[in-house]
Formats: sequence, structure tokens, C-alpha cells
Amino acid sequence: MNNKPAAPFSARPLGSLLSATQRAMTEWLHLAMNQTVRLAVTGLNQSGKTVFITALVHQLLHARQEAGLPFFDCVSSNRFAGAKLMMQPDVDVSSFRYDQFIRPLTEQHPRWPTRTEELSEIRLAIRFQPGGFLHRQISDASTLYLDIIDYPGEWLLDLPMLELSFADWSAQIFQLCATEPRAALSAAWRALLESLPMDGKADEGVLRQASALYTEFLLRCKNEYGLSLLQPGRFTVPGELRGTPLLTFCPLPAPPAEHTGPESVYGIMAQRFDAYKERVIHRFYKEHFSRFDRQIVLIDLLKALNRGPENFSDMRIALESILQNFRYGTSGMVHRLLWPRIDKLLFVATKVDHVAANQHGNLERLLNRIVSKPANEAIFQGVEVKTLALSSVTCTRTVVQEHEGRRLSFVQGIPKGRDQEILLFPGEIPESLPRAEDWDANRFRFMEFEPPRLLDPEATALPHIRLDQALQFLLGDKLS
Amino acid sequence: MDAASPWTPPVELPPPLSPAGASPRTLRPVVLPAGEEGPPPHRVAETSTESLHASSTEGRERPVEKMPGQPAANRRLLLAATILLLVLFTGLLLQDAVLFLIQEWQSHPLLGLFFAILLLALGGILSVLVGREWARFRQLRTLTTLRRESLHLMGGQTLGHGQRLVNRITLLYRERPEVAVALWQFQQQVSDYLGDRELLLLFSRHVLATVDDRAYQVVLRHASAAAVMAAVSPMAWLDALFFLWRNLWMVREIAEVYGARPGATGSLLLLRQAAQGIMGAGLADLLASGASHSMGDSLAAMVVAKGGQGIANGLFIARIGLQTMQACRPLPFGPDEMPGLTRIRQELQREIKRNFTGEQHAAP
Repeated sequence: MNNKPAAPFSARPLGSLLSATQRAMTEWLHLAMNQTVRLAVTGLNQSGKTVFITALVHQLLHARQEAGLPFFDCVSSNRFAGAKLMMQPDVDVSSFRYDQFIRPLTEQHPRWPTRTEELSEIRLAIRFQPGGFLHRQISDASTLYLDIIDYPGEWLLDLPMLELSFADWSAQIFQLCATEPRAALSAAWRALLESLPMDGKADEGVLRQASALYTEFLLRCKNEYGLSLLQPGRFTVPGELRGTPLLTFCPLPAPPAEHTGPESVYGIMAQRFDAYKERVIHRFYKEHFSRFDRQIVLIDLLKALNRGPENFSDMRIALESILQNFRYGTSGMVHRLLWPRIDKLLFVATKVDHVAANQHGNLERLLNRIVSKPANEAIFQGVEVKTLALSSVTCTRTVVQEHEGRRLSFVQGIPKGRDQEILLFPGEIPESLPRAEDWDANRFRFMEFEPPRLLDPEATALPHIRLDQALQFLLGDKLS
Repeated sequence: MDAASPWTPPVELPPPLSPAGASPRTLRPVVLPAGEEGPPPHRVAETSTESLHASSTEGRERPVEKMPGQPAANRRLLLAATILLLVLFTGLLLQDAVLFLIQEWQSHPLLGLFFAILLLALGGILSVLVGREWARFRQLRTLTTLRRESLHLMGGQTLGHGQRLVNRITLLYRERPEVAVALWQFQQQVSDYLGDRELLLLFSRHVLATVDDRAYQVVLRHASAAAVMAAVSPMAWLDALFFLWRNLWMVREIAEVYGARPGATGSLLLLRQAAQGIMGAGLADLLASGASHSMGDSLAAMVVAKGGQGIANGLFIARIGLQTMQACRPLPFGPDEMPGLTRIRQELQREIKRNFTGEQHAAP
């Protein structure tokens, strides 16, 4: 260009300027249209979070039109161009190791992946053709960045603690511990509290011992009885906070007023409780929760039904406290903390393949009943709420067979830990909440199953039930 | 379930003797192509609910039939009265005809023979016409019945009845290649866990959508033709006549696309139904969108009253068409499957613009 005589109003530079502007405009438009969705996945303990996320990523990576995602519009209408794993956006959050989790599932002898307990994150880029008329005019392909964040549901249960003082919170915990099975499990810890000297200066050793016993009690509640309402959430999932003074406290019965000084056992515990609220709960809401766009809560209803009425009602209370997180109104606590932006909330009853196909409807209705009342508030706030009964990886099939003169719908599969298939009629799922006296010990026997063996793991996607409907609800509008 | 045992206790059985090693993946039910009349495809779950519903099948069907309630009773009375009147009238006619024939026969046998043959032929033609009309009317009714049944299934949480309905619907479209392709894809995606509601939603979205497309094309074609006609026609009465005829023609074509061949009665009934639909549900829509579409639009302002009138006419026909689609579709439209007027409006504007600019180009 330099060796040409300079023309005062050459058409070339003007043209290139125009095209540059045009390019910049297009780029800007692309940027505006390429969106990011932060999808938070949580669940009450052992509800199948890891498998759910692994299966979700797996389905997106394997999505093709003829594959089994008929309810996922973007794929079924052939607008889905592909998905790819990307670098995660936050460097200080541990990665969700998809490769590690998918490998055991697709092996020759498939196994379930080991479970995760920490907050982790994975990013996917989804390339698709916009379906809208206007969008199509601007660009022929858009990219949606999907960040999936996995975190323990226990953390959401901490929210009500924010409103409570140490004394109130302690009273609440002791009230919970008055009933079985908590009463028996907490016996050792409460015995120690009885003998705890409350006067004089606090000794770090005593504090540590009390909190260790309390932590053990919580862990036993979680692992042996599958209880969900466990506060503080970090005690069972400590992560990098393990052993720090932040987690070295426990509920205490209120001592006489002269023993509540800042140096006393009670005083120190109360300070740590406040520090926990400030440094752990607040931080989680500020750094993570406020950035979520969509939230999925996984619930293993079958396990709760298996375990009996106490466990079931515990799960209900836990769910209600989780739903408090979505009370955004001016009186809501979350609202005072921050401005959350979750606009879709999905409750999922997982492992639906453990019951026959004709029971799926009942399972979903039961979940609906549990969730609907506390969810009303969230719906009122404009959050779209949906319930689904799904299975991330299907391990059984339904077989109808005559048994003692009745036609029953069995599930057929290999139960966990065995190597032979069985036919199991696990009992029927009640449509509504069963009363405690209806809870016969023999009523339910839901079993866990081994993952299915794929004939060609490279080419076929894992079988699932209604994962496509979950995808449609969570991402459908972003991919339209 | 009987009152004695409110629930069935869990049962565990030994491994089945059926071919072992079959992985759950291979268990996708084999759904036969529904085009041919054959045994209904077996879905595993089908039998499972049958025992539950066997006793209540009658109770399940009947309330659906009775849905309209009081007006239905009135209508039935009216129908009975009409039939009675018709029978009386036909009887009188017959009597008259026989008397006439006897009279003619008496005057001259040849004359009698001639009139007998004439009357017989007339009667034959008339009965064939009435018979065909009746058959076509019945065909239209099957669509309504199908839709009622599907509405019932979509409202519930049943399992295993949907496939039969789907088979009956696909029977209507067995000769269409584009439906066959969609049907094949649909069957690839059906799994045995899908409840009736999910199955029908899927069917509606994947298979009936192709039929909708075709019906939409019909609406589009007629709407734009009517728009252009109104915009250029010099005589109002011709316009009105054309408009009426268009409507009837379109309604009939749409019904044919959806698998019925309505006769004159059927078309008129459909048209009435569509018009009622517009009066009821569409009024607000008409006020909200129609008025702005036809009046506030820059193009309508530009092309003055004529063009605007054309668009209004076209939009009206399009509305009738969409209502007819709704009335003829064997499944109700899903939440966002109902085709909108926006595209039709754009199409109409383009059509009229082309016509007007074409004329302008031709003038100088």
C-alpha cells in the first residue's frame, strides 16, 4: 500500500475501515451472544451427584440426533454442532475429573466411580445453531459455555445458621438430639459435655475433643443412618479447613451467666461459631452461590423410603432448609447477603431405574408433594421449579412376570456386589407421603445395582432415563 | 389393589432363564412400523398396567365421551328430532313417488317404466352422495375422538396405552414418505420407560410436526392468495365471494392434510368451529396483534388502505386456518408447537409488496 500514490479519499482505506468496523461489530455480537451458564449440582448425601454430572457431560459429548436425547430440542432438531471439554474458568477451584469418573463406567467390567465431596468444577463448550429467526440472521453458530459446579448439599443447609445466635443454634441441635436415632448416636458427645468444665479459661485440648466427638456424631448420622440435616455442613465435608479452629467448636448448653466470658469455653465456642458464619457460610454464598444460574438438587428418595419414617422426615426438613436459599424476597436472608440470580431450580429423584417403569410416575408425584409447598415461595419469586424422576445411568430393565397369581413389574439387573442378575419387585412407591404406621418393615426393598455393560463403549452413549428432559429444562432456553 | 393388603411386599426371584447376558442397552422395545395393520407393538410395560386398568377401562372411556355434559344432551335431542323429521320427510317423498309411479303406470306402462328408472337413478345418486358425506363426516369424527383420547392420556400419568394411540394415528398417514421418515426417527428414540404423556409429546413433536408443516404451507398459500386478491380486486362483492370460497377450500385441504376428507357438511362444520374459536379465544389476540399488524405497520401505512385490507383479509384467513389445524390435529398442540401468525404476516407483506412493486414497475 505504501508504494502507491496516496489519494486523499481513497476508496480502499475507507472500505477496509468499514469492513474492520463490520468485523468488530460481528465479534462484539458474537461475544454478546456467546453465553455462559453456571449450573450448580448438589444433593443430599449419596444421591448420585458424581454419576449424574459424569453422565450429563458424557451425554453432551456424545449427543447426536439419533442418540437417545429426544426431549433435548437442540439435539433432536439437529441444531447441536458438538460439545467439548474446556479449561475451567476458576483456577482456585478443584477440577471435576470427568476422565477419571467415566473410565470405570465404560470399562469391560464397569464399576461406579468413587464419590466426590468437595466443590469442583468443569467447563464445557457447546456449539449450536441458534433456532431463533433473529439469531440466525446474525450468526450461523453460537457457543454456550456450560460450567458445572459440584458441591455438597450440606453447605446449603448451613444457611439457617446465619439467622441464629450460638445459644439458639445450640438449643436447636439439642432438641434434634432428643429423638432417635440422633439420641443414641450423640450419647458419647453429650456425655462429654456433661463433664466439661465450663468455668475458668478454656483449654484447646478440651475444645478439640468436644468438637471431634461432635464431628464423629455427625459422620455417623450421615454414613450409618443417611440423615441429611447435619449442621455445620463443613464438619462432614471439611476440605482444606480440616483441623483449623474454624471447625473446632460444637453446640453447648447455655451455662450460668458468669461463665460466658470471652476466655471461657462457651465464649470461645461462640466466637468460633460466629467466625464460621462469617468466614465459611458468607464466603460460600458470596464466592459461589451468587454466581450460579441454574441449580439442580438430587435426592435419593428410594433410599429414604428404604430407611424408614425418621430418615424420610429428616430428608423433608433438610429439603425445606435448602429451599430457604431460594427465598429471595426482601425479608429473605439470602437477599440481604447478595443478589442471587438462580432462575431455574430442578429437583431430581435419582436412581429411578431401581424401580419398574410403571412406578416412575408415582416417584415423581411423591417428590412433587414433598417439594411443592416449600417451593411455592421460590416460584413466587420467579424461579422456575420442576421435578423429575430420572436415572443418570440405567442399570436395569422392567420385566413383567406372573408371581403368585398376580402380574408384577420386576426390575432385572445385577445387584451391587453380586455377579448374577436377579428379578426384583422392590415394592410399590406410594403416591403420597406414607404415614408412619403404614411403614411396615417389609414394605420396601430398593436395591443398588451394578452399572450396565456397554457392548461398544466407544460408540454408544450410556443408557439413561429422562436426562434429556433435565437438559432441556436447564439449558433449552439458552440453546434456542 | 384390594383392601386386605394395601401394598405388595417386595419379592426377589432367581435369575430368569431367558437368554442371559443381554445388557439393558439391547432392551429397547422393538416397535413395529405402525403403518401396516398388524399386531400392536408389544411394549414391556403395556401388560403391567393392564391389570390395573382392566376393570376400569369402561369407566375410563365413558367420562371422556360425556365431557360436554348438559349441552350434549340437548344436542342429542336435537339430532333425534332432525332424524325423525328426515325419516318422515323421506317417507312422505317415497309415498308420493310410489303414488306417482302407479299413476303413470296406469296411464301407460312405458311412461311408468321411464319414470321408475329415472326415480331409481335419482334415488341411487342421492343415497351415494349422502352415504359418502356420512362416511367423510365419520372420518372427521375419528380425528376428534383421537384427540379426546390423547388429551385424556396426556392429562394422566399412565403407562402403556400411548403406543396403541400412536399406531392408530400413524395409520392415517401411512402413505406419506416424510411422515414415514419422521416415524422411523421417533421409533429410534422411544424407550420403554416413557409414560403415555411423554410418548405422545414426543410423537407430537417429532412426527406430527411434519404434518403440521404441510398444513401450515396450505394456510400460508391461501392466506397470501387471499391477501393479494383483496389488495388488487376491483369489486367488493367478487372479493367477498372469493373470500368465502377460499375459506371453505382451505379448511377442506387442511383436514385432508390431517388425514380426513371432509365433505361439504364437514367443511362447513369445521369452518364454523374455527370461526367460533376465533370469536372466543382469538378475540384478545385479534385486538392485541391483529390491529397493530394490520394498522400500525409501516408497510400497511405505506401501501394505503388496499394493501392493508389485503393483509387483514389474509390474516383472517390465516387465523381460520390455524384454528382449523387445531381442530383437525389428532393430538393437541404442545406448549410452543402452535405455529404463530408472525411468519404468515411477513409472508403476506412480502407477497403484497411484490405485487404492488411489480405493478409499479410495469406501469412506466
